[in-house]
Amino acid sequence: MMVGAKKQRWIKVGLYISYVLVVLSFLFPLLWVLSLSLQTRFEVLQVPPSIIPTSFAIGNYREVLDSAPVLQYLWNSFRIVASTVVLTLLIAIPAAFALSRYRMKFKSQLMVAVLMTQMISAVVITIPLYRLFASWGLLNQLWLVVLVYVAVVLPFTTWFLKNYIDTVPVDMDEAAIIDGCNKWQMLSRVLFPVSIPGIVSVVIIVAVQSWSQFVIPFILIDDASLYPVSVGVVNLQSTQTQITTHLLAAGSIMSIIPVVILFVLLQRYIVGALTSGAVKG
Amino acid sequence: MWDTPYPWLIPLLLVLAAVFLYPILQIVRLSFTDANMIQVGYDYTLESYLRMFTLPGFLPMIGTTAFFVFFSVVFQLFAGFIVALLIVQGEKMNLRGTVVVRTSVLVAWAIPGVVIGVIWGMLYNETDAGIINYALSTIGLGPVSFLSDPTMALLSVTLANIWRGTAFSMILMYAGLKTVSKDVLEAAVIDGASALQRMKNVILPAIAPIILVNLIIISIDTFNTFDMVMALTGGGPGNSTEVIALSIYTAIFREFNLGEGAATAVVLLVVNVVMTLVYLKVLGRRGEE
Amino acid sequence: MKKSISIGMSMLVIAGLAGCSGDNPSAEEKETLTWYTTAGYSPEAPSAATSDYISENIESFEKEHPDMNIQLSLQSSNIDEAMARLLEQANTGRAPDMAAIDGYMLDRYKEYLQPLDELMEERGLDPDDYLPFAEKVLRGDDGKIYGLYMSTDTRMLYYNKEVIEEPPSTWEEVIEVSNEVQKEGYEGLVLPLGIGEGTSVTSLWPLFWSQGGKLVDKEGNPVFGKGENREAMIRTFETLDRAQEEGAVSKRMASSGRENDANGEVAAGDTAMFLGGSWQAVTIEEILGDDFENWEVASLPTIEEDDPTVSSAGGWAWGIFTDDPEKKEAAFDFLMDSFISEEGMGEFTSIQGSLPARTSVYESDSYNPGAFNDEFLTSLETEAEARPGASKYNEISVQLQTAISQVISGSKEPEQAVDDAWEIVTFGESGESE
Repeated sequence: MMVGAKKQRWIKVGLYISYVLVVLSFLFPLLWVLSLSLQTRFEVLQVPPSIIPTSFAIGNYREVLDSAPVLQYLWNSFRIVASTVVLTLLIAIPAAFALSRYRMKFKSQLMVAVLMTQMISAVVITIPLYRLFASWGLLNQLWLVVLVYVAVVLPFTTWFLKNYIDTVPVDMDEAAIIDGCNKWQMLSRVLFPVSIPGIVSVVIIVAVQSWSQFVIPFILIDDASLYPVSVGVVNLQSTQTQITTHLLAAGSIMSIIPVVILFVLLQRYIVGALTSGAVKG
Repeated sequence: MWDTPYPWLIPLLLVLAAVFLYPILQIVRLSFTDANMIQVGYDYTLESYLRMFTLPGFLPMIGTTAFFVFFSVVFQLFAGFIVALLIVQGEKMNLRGTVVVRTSVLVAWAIPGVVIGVIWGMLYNETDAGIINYALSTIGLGPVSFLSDPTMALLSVTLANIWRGTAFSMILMYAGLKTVSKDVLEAAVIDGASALQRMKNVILPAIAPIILVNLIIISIDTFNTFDMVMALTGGGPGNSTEVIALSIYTAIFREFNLGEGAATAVVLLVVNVVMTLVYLKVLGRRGEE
Repeated sequence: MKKSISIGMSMLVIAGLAGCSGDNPSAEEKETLTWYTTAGYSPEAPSAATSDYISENIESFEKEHPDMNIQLSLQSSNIDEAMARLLEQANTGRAPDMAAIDGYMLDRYKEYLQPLDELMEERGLDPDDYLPFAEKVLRGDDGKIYGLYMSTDTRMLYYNKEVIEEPPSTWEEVIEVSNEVQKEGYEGLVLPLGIGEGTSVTSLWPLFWSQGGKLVDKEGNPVFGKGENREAMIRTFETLDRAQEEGAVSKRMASSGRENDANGEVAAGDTAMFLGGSWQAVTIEEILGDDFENWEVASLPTIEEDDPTVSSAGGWAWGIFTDDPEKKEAAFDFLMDSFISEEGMGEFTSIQGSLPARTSVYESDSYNPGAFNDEFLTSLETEAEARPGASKYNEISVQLQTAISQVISGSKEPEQAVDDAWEIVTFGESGESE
């Protein structure tokens, strides 16, 4: 490229300035809450606000842990997300395989119907389910809650994986059949391994969506010891005790820190998986 | 014996039928009743719909939702695209720091909506101890009533939502930009195309499909959620930030008015279906091209 | 984590007890007593003192009733939702044997609850000992008592007497005093005027009731938008609106819906008076430390000098659903010993920082009075009213919270806001009830 060195430099400066702006606008809210979480009740209310906490009140975290089971919330979230991911894959991979590799009547109608469900708000379906579960005495059953989580992510997952498998050449199937594989072996030994990048993308997206899922657990779970983080924080926010800003900040930080760390550590793989998956899918 | 597609599909269809079909039929049925959560019996009536369409709150609620969704989606797309472009450009020039930018945006994606609401509630603190108001006061502005003025509150909620959604949009845009072929771009440069022309004639057409998918996903998501709004304003002040999904929740779980909540849910359902149809139509047309 | 450990521990305790006593009936013969309660009144309460107190009481109950086993199920932290669920359970015949009920809502459950008069007499619990408002709540139309009111609270004006010599007793004075203290750099009056139940009970109902307004009639149908009630509601709104326009109340209050929001304001140090609940005294004391000495409470301000002062009282009651005589008695014993007897109520409300619902408990040795105890008691005896238990109440409350929040944030005029709320609440009703 024959762009002048001077012009290059200006572009670089411009880019760096915009990087600083972007990073600031995305990290500042989090850093501010981190700072609040390390301030005492008094420092939080000081004018002017101190950006770097002077009191460094690490005790806030203790206090939150003593008054709210944040670790339990995290553990619940983890359990729910892990089961959702596994169950989703177990259902979506075979379905995607069938939709990709079989001819059948009404296939496009079926695909449309599946996709339709993707568009439906979780609020709409959760209310009747709440009534149903309540009348059967099945509220607070995590496996049922997981089933609803799975249903909500299934349409997208199935579509995504179907499109991914579509990109795998049919020659590979034929080779497998010649080798004497049945359909199941073909899926598990041939298609599954080559679809792993797509599956990883799906796992990440499903995990993030389920981690943030709010409506479903908020309505279907009313036992505070089963709350995932998203509902737990609302609980923390609305408890009638003396949770004030600094403690709420500490609770919020605790509830996001594991995922943030995970994202920072794995960001290269996450971006890689998402981009390769998204483009093919 | 395994050579039909149906066994592979049964689990999928069962789960979807159980979790979607039954509730949808129920919600439609309930919307034609005066059921509430406090009394046992109910009668079939059209009252919930009459109520919804004649009472003063409905149109403002639709207006609030439309504003919230429209501006969230437009700016999420725009901001996502700009950030993605900045990163791709930086990567091309081997700049350091692109990873930091990418990661910091990505992190916002992993935070539950409720926590985002709580975090922004702290930023929007209206006393002088609030960081944004303090910053404004140092340059002689404010204090701004971020959450207690009806118009500002809607703007504040929308801004927080843009922040929340930009990450996902950025990832898709980034993936799209990565696919734009270098050869074509270089050819355009050699042909003497300006940066603007390259954008218009090469980059945008190449990533149009992904913009479209992005648009659809985020507009549906924005319509359907209320977690962030609930944590940030609870719909207030008044009902100036009460988006449709939150209004369903309030009707049912705070006013115990199941019939009315169900009727509002049916409106949301219709919006969902209409959006799907538009989506399919647009995608279908793309397929034919 | 802590919670799961404490569940585990209480289970161990329960299991251990079952194994200990020699002539213990076998597990199959054991009756289960189901107990639906909020986390705050359970062995899993966030406060260690509460959780210990209740665990001990369960333990001693199960020692005395070897044939009974208490099975705990926790309510959602969203009270409205928890109460709706309880009603649904009762409706479908799946009510727990005993449950914590938000006091004012007790009325909704009366058709499913057991009358307790006989048991109360046996244990020497005189209904007249209950605070007047509580007794009114507990008594059914048939004159019987349907619940056990446990703890309560009231709303008052808190003020810093270093800044404010004479607390304002009318809203006219609120404006005056606010404008004065604002000159010294203090905030005006802090009170909830946003979306949330705190707005209704603290800021709206006391003013409305003080003018003789009624939210619902005897049958539970809304009447707040008709005739004199409408006038009273509009005046309530206008009074609050005027205070905002005169600068006595910050517009910011339109986004605060809980009494506890004032805690932060007080901690900020520039608040000289606020409307709040009695439970906040403990928190404020903790926040202010020695400066707390300068604080006092007074009755809520009224509109006219000679309007009666009215406050609203909340709190919790216990209800017994089981009609099995043995279980009913066991449940009664448990609740009585833990929360209602002079000792039980005294100790428990002291731990909770709430106020006893029985007058005699205030003088009991088991009760450890906190700050402003006497003022609170007077307020409860003379000023307090409970919200109506009508099924329409929640809708009325939500609509009027929304309405006042619209007025304070400047998007509606008082009259319009009240009439709109009325239209929404009464839509489709032509005056007659079904």
